Amino acid sequence: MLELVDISKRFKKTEAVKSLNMFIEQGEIIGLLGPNGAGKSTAISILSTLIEPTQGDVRFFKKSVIKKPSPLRKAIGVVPQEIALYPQLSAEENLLFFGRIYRLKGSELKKRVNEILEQIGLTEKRKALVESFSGGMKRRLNIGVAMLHRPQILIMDEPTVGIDPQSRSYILETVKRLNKENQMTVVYTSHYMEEVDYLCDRIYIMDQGNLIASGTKEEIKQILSSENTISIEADHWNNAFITHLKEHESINNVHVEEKEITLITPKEVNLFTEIISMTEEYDIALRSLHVKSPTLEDVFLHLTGRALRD
Amino acid sequence: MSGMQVLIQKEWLESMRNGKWIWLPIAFAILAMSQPLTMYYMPQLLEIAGGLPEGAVIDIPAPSGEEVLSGVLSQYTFLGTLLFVLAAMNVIVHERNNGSIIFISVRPVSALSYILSKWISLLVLYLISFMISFVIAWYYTNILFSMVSAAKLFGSIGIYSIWLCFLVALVLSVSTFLKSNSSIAGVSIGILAILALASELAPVYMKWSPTQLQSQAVQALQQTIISDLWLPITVTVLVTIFLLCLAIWRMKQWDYSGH
Repeated sequence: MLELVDISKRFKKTEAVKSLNMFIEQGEIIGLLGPNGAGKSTAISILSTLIEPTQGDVRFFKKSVIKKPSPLRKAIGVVPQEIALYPQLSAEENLLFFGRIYRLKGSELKKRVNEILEQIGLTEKRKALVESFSGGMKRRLNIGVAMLHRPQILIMDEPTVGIDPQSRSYILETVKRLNKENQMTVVYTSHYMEEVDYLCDRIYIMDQGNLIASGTKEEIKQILSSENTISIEADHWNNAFITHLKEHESINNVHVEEKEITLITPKEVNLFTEIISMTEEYDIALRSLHVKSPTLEDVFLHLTGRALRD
Repeated sequence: MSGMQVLIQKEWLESMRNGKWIWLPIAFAILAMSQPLTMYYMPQLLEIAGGLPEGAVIDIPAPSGEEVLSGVLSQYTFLGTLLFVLAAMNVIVHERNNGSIIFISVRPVSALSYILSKWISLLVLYLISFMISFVIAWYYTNILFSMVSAAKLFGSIGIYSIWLCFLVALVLSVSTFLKSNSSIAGVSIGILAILALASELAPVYMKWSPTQLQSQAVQALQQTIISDLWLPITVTVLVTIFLLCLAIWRMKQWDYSGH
């Protein structure tokens, strides 16, 4: 349906995207995952025909849309990272304005605005000015605006940034429902692994402009099929303990947070008892120790040596 | 030109909500009214202010209606231009900074429609504010001083309106290059100040300059025949078209990915 073929994008000295290949099939939810600065937003902007790549091609139903973007523009709805609304207009006025821009008119426009307000749960607030909305309500309206013209593909650039858990879950459910009921294709970028894990059929993982892994969730987790993740929790760490872990020959990756250390180790090696005795040796008050199957977060850690939110 | 009418309607609705349609005409009306009123009551004001020697008599010759209205236009040159620039500086930049330009750009809206809609909506607001205030000043001038003919008034308004077309195009064009309100206002005022200074220092070489239209508007009040009118009008129209084309070209170069 939609393809990025060997796309690169350079901004002066920065190469934001390097030789990216990506395909999107009708009706699937694609996750584009990576930390800040990974190149996700640039990839999304190229996919939305907002910027032209320095090299490569964007194809929609096998036809290039770089020079003639209108067939793709009609088919996509873009939810930008920012709250792209007019705060001094009401929810209804914002929807009417963007609907008219898309040449919806009269009763068709009114009907569509009502449907959208219902879908995003803002019917009661239709007359209220957007400046009085909470962050979550603005995000929902942002999504509503992108869906007005019944797009085939919804492109969402981190739509849950900075909102409360309730609104976040509402948005995730709405995306899931749109995909199921309307067969809407969704491209969803996030640096929240659990959102991508919950929503997406296939995932592309980017880091520093490169595509570092792609496939279904299961395929990506297979990258670490021969490894285990060990999570150690304690109130504090000491440097000697961390150095010891990093220098251990059977530990492939060590990621340190304030109260948790995550290790990636080969499955055949049992480090459980060894770690417990190390914590005693370095006088660390251990709170818990878990061995678990690798998550997408662990795969990212394994591939890049960094956590997603670093 | 698709969507231009919708964009203009949205601009006006937004300007109503943020009060631009209220404060700008009121500010201009106060600016315009203050000139005939202060000139008329100047002797009383000086007397109230005090500080004059005992027995001194204030004898200010009464200016003609044309001179009073010329004073109003001088007020517009300084404070009026500042108000116009301040009211226009954020019309593009706030849509770029809050991302709503992305919602518009991925829809079938051309850069031409977008820039022209901004220009037309601002220009209508400015022309209405300017005309209302100038007619109010004319009304007080006619009552308090001497009668100025409607032909002279509308001739002056016509010339000044061409200057406003240029002013709006300049601020919009600068807005497509910069991303902060203060820098847009600073650069726009800087360009206008350089043009005005050059006209003062080398008037012979600056007869073409758009800033000449401000003095031509004054001339239109005071004389029946205005000298060297067509050169600055032609240049101003051409420069306005160039600035709008520049803004459209620049908008097509915008980077939406935050780099």
